[in-house]
Amino acid sequence: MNDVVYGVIKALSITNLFAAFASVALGIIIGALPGLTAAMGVALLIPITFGMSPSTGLITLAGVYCGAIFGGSISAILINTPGTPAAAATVIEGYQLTLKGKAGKALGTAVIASFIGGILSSIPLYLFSPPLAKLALKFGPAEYFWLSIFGLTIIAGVSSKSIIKGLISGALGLMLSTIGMDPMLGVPRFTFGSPYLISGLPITATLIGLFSMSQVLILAEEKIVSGRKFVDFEDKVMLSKDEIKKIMPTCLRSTVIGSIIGILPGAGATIASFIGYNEAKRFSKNKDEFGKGAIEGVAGAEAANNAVTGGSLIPTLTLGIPGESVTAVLLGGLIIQGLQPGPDLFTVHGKITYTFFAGFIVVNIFMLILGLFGSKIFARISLVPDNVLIPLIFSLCTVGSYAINNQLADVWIMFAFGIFGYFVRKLDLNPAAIILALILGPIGETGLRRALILSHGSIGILFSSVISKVLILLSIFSLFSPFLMERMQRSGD
Amino acid sequence: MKKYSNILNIFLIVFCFLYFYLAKQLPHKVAVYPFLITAILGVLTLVHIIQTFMKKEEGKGEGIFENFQGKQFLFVITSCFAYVFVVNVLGFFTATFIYLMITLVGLRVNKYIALITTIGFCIGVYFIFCSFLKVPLPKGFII
Repeated sequence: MNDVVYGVIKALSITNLFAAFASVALGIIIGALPGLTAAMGVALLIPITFGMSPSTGLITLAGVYCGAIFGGSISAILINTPGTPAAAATVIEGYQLTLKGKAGKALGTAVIASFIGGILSSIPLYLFSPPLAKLALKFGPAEYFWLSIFGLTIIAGVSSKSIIKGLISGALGLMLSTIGMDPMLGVPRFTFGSPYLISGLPITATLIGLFSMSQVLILAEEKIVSGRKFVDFEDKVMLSKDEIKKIMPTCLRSTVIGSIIGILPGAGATIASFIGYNEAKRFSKNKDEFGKGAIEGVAGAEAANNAVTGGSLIPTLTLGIPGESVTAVLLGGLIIQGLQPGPDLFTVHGKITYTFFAGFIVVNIFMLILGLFGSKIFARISLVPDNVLIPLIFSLCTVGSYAINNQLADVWIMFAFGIFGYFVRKLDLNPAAIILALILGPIGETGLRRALILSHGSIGILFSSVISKVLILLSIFSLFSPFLMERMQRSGD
Repeated sequence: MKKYSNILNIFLIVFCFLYFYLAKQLPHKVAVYPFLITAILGVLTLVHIIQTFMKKEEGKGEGIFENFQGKQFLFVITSCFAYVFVVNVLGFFTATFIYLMITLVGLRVNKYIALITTIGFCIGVYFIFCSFLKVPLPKGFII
């Protein structure tokens, strides 16, 4: 309990408040710019957070994450283009409201629903994370091996188009994870004699390359759109009491949906927003309004996609299994700070973790304030053309990948992975799956080899404990979860 | 797009063999795990090859490289490469100034906007990385 109170006090320090405010603003800008994603924003910010205290750094990353998920709705509502994939469902009703001259109402609904979804998703984060982390105390090498397998099967779910391509991406990530020193015997593997690779691929540079530089190349191959236009609006962003009453049940329902989907491996904010939207329509008394500009539709989608943020942090922080691509990148940020997911986060590093949790709430409050009073400004920033963004993002990629180890070699690794990441995306492979495997690979390898040493080579040890059996079952479920998610999304559509 | 699936298949086969060849040169105990991963990727590649073979060709468009702006892409990637190449020689700020100006103007951004953006960006990076975070940036013979 002490850590919880300490966390609240610490999260309200000037530094953390400033970090939360600035990162939410930056996140909203990233989210509002079509073509830039939350994962890209978090990857770019990791090097900056490296110089901060761990709790401030994590609050900053959470700010960008939450801000970007909400920010996507601004361009969805005003220029009919979702800033992030998670805002795809918001376009349906949001832009219709804009055409009716009610863009302010649409934005107000989006920000209030996002706030409710985000802030209420911190409840399961507080309640379920510590007991789940305690469970990890009972894990031995065999359980860690199966845990990493469970995490890797999530790859199938993270992959949006093809399960087999997702698994191939995971296998490629596993191969990349073997670069560096052998964890048991200390023999260099696949280092080509380079001392830079002895400790393996630098996570941050690899992340920035795969997510941010590849995005630069994706923007560079497309025709530059310089004259995006948005509809200016005069109506108020703030909703009336009646309107808030009208959207409240939808917001609460979508929050539950988003939180559960966030915890589930493989699903993400995009699926949550479509299901949230569909359920809003199903339960609405004004079904006829849907498709013509219903604020409940905007609320359903936005509350759900922001509720995913808190939910997906639970498996990430407790078991080291990110629920979606942004949390996979965020996990990289956690490791950079020297923090390992699991029980230690709630005991040894309890103060940092609970400061982060309280900071998560603060971040959502700032998102509400900035959304209500700054949407017009953010909407204008979203018009920055791609030809300005391309060189600026690449320059940030360079400085970011250099900043962690002060080595130019890291910049070249970022560059190489940027090109690799570009082809990965073009060929429909999955960069999130590669990163996930890169992080989980060493855990699985060490677990497997330790378990086999303990059992003198007998593989029976891998199937002996109850936890192992549960993890095997979960892995099988996880492998088939994409089919389930596809059915859910279809019903959402 | 079957053509691109085939390209992926070729890449995966080459990658599998290359990785297997490199793993073979490791001591036996160290190579076991890499062999296991090679086998996994090999099986997955085989499944993907069968999937590609069974798949019907959908349309004959340019597919994933439709609307590809070749010249623009080449210009951006070359300028990025040159930037990384000289950043440790000229120093971060000099290299960034030259890179941003050339790329922005090359991508048809108004000269004055390009200049303001470049100066603003350099000042921003200086304050965030040098003054606030105290992170050293690449130093060359200029700055």
